[in-house]
Amino acid sequence: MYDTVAPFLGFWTVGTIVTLGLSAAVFPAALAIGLVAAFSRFSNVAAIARLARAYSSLFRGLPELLVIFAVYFGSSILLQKLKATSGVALPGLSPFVAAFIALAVQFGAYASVVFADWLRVFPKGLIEAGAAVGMSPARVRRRIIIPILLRQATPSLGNLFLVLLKISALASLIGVEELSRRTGIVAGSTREPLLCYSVAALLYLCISAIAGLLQAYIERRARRTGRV
Amino acid sequence: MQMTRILAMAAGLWLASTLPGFADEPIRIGIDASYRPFAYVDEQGNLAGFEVELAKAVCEEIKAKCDISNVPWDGIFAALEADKIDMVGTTVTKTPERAAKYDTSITINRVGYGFMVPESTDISKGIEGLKGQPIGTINGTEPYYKFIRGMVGDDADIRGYPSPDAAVLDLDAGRIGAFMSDNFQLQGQFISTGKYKFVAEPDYDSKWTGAGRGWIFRKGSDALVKRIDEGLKGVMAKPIFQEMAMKHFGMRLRTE
Amino acid sequence: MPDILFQDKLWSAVFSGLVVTLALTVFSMILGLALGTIVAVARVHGGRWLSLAAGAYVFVLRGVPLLILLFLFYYGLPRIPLLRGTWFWDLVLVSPFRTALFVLALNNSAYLAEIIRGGLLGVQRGLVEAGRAVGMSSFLIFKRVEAPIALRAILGNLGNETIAVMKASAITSVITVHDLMGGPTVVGNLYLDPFTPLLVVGVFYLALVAVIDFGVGRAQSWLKVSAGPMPSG
Repeated sequence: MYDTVAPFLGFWTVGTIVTLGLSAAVFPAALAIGLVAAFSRFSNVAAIARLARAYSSLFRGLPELLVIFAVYFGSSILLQKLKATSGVALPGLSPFVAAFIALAVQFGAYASVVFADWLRVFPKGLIEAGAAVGMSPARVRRRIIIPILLRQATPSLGNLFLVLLKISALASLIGVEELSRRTGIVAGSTREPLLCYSVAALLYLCISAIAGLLQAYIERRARRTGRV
Repeated sequence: MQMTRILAMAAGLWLASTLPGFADEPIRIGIDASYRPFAYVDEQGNLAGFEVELAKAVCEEIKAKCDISNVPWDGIFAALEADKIDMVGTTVTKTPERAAKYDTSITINRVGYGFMVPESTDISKGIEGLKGQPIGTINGTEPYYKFIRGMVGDDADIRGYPSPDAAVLDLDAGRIGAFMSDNFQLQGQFISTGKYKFVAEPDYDSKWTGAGRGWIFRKGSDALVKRIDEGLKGVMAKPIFQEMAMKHFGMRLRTE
Repeated sequence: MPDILFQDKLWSAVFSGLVVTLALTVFSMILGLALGTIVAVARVHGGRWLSLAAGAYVFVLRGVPLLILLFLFYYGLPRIPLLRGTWFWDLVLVSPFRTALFVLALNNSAYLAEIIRGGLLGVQRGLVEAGRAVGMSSFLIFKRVEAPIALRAILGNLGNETIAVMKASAITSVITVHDLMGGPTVVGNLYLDPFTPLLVVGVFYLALVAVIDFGVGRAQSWLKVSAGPMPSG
């Protein structure tokens, strides 16, 4: 039974790498966007705070498929219009890049909520200590708040990464040949869906194991040294 | 300077390549290669299957360059409408709705609709006997839904499955009383194994089966459709057409 | 105006799908929170073997995609003849909806366990030690110190998870359960409009998210979570 799927393992592994690569690329971008959005939520400028809250509500609310389609097909349409009106032909977004943008923006919204949460219960004493030593607000943010924030949010961010890993499967609908799609293809070629899904489960567990080990390492280090 | 000239040439070539008619642009065909033997990916990672071979044969017949890509079914019509592909190479039923919204090729084959049950089931009551049981079919295939409702009743409990293999797994598990699909698939993929059988003779009535199966294009692709139709007519007139069918399905295709 | 908007089929799919989404979300959150809290406490406060077992539970149920979990549970388990006559078959497996709920709850509980664990771990050691110094028992410390702080820290996160579950329930179409996402996209297939149903459904999801966000905000103000630690500027 396993000989039917064995020849596809190479094909399958490439899909695994694409899934891992896409998620690994999106995650830091999402974290960066999330941090900016989280801090903006508490800005003294009302417009910025409102914008940050609207961003997080909007992109958590929209179905991921809609955003991916909007970025990929929408950019195509925009570029076509641009070409029609001005004759300038710019290269379109590749499916991978479109998926990257869509996922980073969406998961940035989720990350911003996680960070905002921890910001709300952040011990004020630490900030005041920083100010007392003469640090500027930006410095306080960079040296005190962000490292602690990242450490506290690590389990939630670990969650987020695993969710991202699975959602990245939607990128297959615009042509990114990642693990889920490749699993479906192998299931269609071998006509053994149960077997193929079991193998895929193992492949996904491998990726999750790598992510989990990384997360445990970060958590262990943070607990020991008090910093990330 | 040397660099500037090279860059200028490159820019010029690139801009020129976006002008229509610069190169003989290939026909971009999207096929969902996830179901053997219709279209699948072989062990070397290449596209294979009846639909793929037919598309290649047609392109050869009209001497056109074709780019066949593997597009998931759920994204295939979006890709067609957004001009990422020119044609859907997966053979689909030419329903009136599809004919209104898209351009279609000539009919490639005609299928009959039927209900399939496990070999051991008592079929003495025929389709009447299916009333009251959940019936499985492929998710979203409206012609199939209409057929089931027409045959078994408007209140039929229709379960839509993502693939025929999933539906048959549930048939085995006893969650559905029968699986409804086209006779081509049922016969070739399942009944031929001896584990299943038809409840009744497959129904070819065009009230249900529409105008048969063909390829789909964006509305207004008249020139392309004409070329492809000519290719199809050419290939379908040659023995290679039924040879491909025999090779992949073990059955001949019905074209009338 | 895309004419799919005038089709009864679309709106009946939207509303029946809405009911399914809400039912799946609410019940899997409740079950998930119950299970998840047990698992989280096991991981944080449990002994070596207990926390290892809890860790394995979280690892498998988060690591395997919901699609695969659903597929293997729903299509795979019936092939084990032993299970067929049992109460599990009659109560859960025979019904696609109940199987979906069961698997969603399990999957959800693993994510929730991590969120709750994160909340518990984020409680500053000093506060716990202060509690110990005044002679509180571990249980009392949990009840009076850890749980309240953890709860406030993770409310937004819980909101995130609820939203994620709500959207994830779309995958249940693979076992023939059609929710807010699954039903309308099938109608979209029928009327050959892949985009309009997504937009309609998007509006509904936005509304649901607004409700969830509102709920989280109210919970936060009711629990008197502070407005933010930021220095001015």
